[in-house]
Amino acid sequence: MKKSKAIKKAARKAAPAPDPVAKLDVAEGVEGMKQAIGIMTDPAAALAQRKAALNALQGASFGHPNFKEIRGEYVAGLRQVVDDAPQELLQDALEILSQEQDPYAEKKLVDGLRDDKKALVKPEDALHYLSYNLHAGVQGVVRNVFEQSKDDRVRQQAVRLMSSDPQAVKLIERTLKDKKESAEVRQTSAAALHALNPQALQKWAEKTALDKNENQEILAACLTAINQFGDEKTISKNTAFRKRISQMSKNAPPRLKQIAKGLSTKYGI
Amino acid sequence: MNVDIQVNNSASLTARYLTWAWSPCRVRVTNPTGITGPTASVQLSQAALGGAGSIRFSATPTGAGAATLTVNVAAGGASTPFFVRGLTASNADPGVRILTRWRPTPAAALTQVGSVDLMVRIRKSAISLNTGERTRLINAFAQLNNQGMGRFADFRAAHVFESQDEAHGFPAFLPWHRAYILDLERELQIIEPSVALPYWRCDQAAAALFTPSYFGRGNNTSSVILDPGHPFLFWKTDNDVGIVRQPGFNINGVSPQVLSQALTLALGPSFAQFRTLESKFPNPDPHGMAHTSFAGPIRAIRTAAKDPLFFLLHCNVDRLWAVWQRQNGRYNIADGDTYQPAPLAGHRIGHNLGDTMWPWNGNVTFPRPSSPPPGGTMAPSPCVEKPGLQPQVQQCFDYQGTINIANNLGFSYDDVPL
Repeated sequence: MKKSKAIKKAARKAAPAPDPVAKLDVAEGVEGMKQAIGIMTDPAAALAQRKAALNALQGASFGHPNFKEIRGEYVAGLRQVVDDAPQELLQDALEILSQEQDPYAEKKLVDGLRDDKKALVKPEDALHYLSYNLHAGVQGVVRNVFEQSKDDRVRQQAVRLMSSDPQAVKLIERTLKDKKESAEVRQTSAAALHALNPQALQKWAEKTALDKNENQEILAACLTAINQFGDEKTISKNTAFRKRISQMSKNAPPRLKQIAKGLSTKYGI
Repeated sequence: MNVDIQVNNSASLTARYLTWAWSPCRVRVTNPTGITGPTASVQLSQAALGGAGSIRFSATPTGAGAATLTVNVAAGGASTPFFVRGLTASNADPGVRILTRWRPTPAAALTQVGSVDLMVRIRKSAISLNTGERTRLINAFAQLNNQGMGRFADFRAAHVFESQDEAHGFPAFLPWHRAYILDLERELQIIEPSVALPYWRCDQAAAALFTPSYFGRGNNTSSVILDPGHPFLFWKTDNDVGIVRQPGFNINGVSPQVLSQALTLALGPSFAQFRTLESKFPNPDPHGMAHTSFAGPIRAIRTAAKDPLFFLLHCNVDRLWAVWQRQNGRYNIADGDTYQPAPLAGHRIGHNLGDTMWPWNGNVTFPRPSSPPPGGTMAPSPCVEKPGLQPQVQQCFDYQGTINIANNLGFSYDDVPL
């Protein structure tokens, strides 16, 4: 038993290189789909075969006339994979179940975010899978993960999910303004804030454009926001902003210059 | 003398777009000064503009057409009909100018008496678009999405689990998706008229599509990596921001799980054989297995339309159908091999030739989805009349007006001639 657990752990840590295209030797139609579910859920089968079976079944979910007949068995098989499969296959199964808004997968993911020992996948991956069915019960967990994690990938993913959480507005705004945060986290925060409070984002963007010490990626993001969603009346009255855009369209690194030129054209600067 | 030229028989600027199909046009005299008889002979020709492309003229909507056409116009102002079609594609708007010239006397040189600028707007491979075309496409998509509040949300909401039988697993899979991407393309054209929806050829290497400056580089379960300032930075669908997509294959090559174009076209000459491209379990296909060659929303029916790449994938499926149609001459719905098996009734509702399709028909009667259909009716085109506000299955076959120019749906593919 101990050996079995160790093997499982090792397998999860060292997932083999992706090979989603192994030849799947099964019949056509329902019989073949049932064979494929058998391969997908068979711990003794080669990973490449199991993954090929999952891919072929998922491909069949896009309109194969027989798929409906095995849909229930397929979902049950995916749950089995979640419980007993190498990391690479397990991730596929978790994402597909999450896309189906499967409560079994959701519980596993939430449990893992609340307790590291129960985690089946990395927290950033768990957050992504939960994004397929965000609801109030999950949003609290997401905020908690964001506040506790120091990993930028996790924090970025959490911000992505918080873009529909009205309770997270202040948290996102604070993150956006914090220059100690990574550019990726701040950039996602800009998108999230815009989704929740576009006026707040525009106000911040106009102010940030004047900050000559601001990170270029962040500057590009805020200028892009104004270019896409800016309020013409507000921009027309903001002399300092218009002057800054005028300067940037003449003298800025190429990408910023290009965006500034676009703004100049759009707002007649 | 001066003349006025109307493209697609419309005075609207938004109607000045051509495909490979014959477009009805007309020319009429607006100032008869200098005309000595009841009519005058004018020559129609073309001049290249910055956006490239070329056209052909004809007095009737048949044949290959010619580089010039001479027509008689009435001094009294009555319109003279003629036809124009694209010969080579434009890459910007405008691409071609129609010149109208005449000789005030037999010995005089040709004098210009009118002109109109237009574009030969053709669906192309996504990786063949130039920088300007890519920028316009991305900007139009971003504006259509408008961070989750734009019209894109309706397209996303139409392709879900609850509506899957309207569009999948039954014969109208191909017609439904033809109407669906056409509706999206028309919405993009309202924002940016020069845009034609491009296709992703999944059986050819397309690394240039999956770059930070274009549709984004895969980033595992995080949002795809985009260049600073990329319009998709603010992409939003449902409850989350960003686009998540991770290729499960080396983007410098091709996923071996997708079926090549040659093998797809070899599925058979009847529609019943060809439509199995939807899913060929357990074998490769160019549709379902193209979806599942990625991790991310695109690999499930209910979430696929969150990703703008989805529309390029389906544009390719539609193109494959168009190539097959041309190869086998399958435009006439009276031909039993054009559709399957071609009765007006007998399939699930929504899949018979005479049925209107959901969501454009607004139908909520079982077995249609019971929730209010998203998006309303099909976006009208300023260039063509079909398929109308509530498309029927039977309107999706003669898409270039090969049998009847009135059937033209207003799109063409770069590698599928008329």
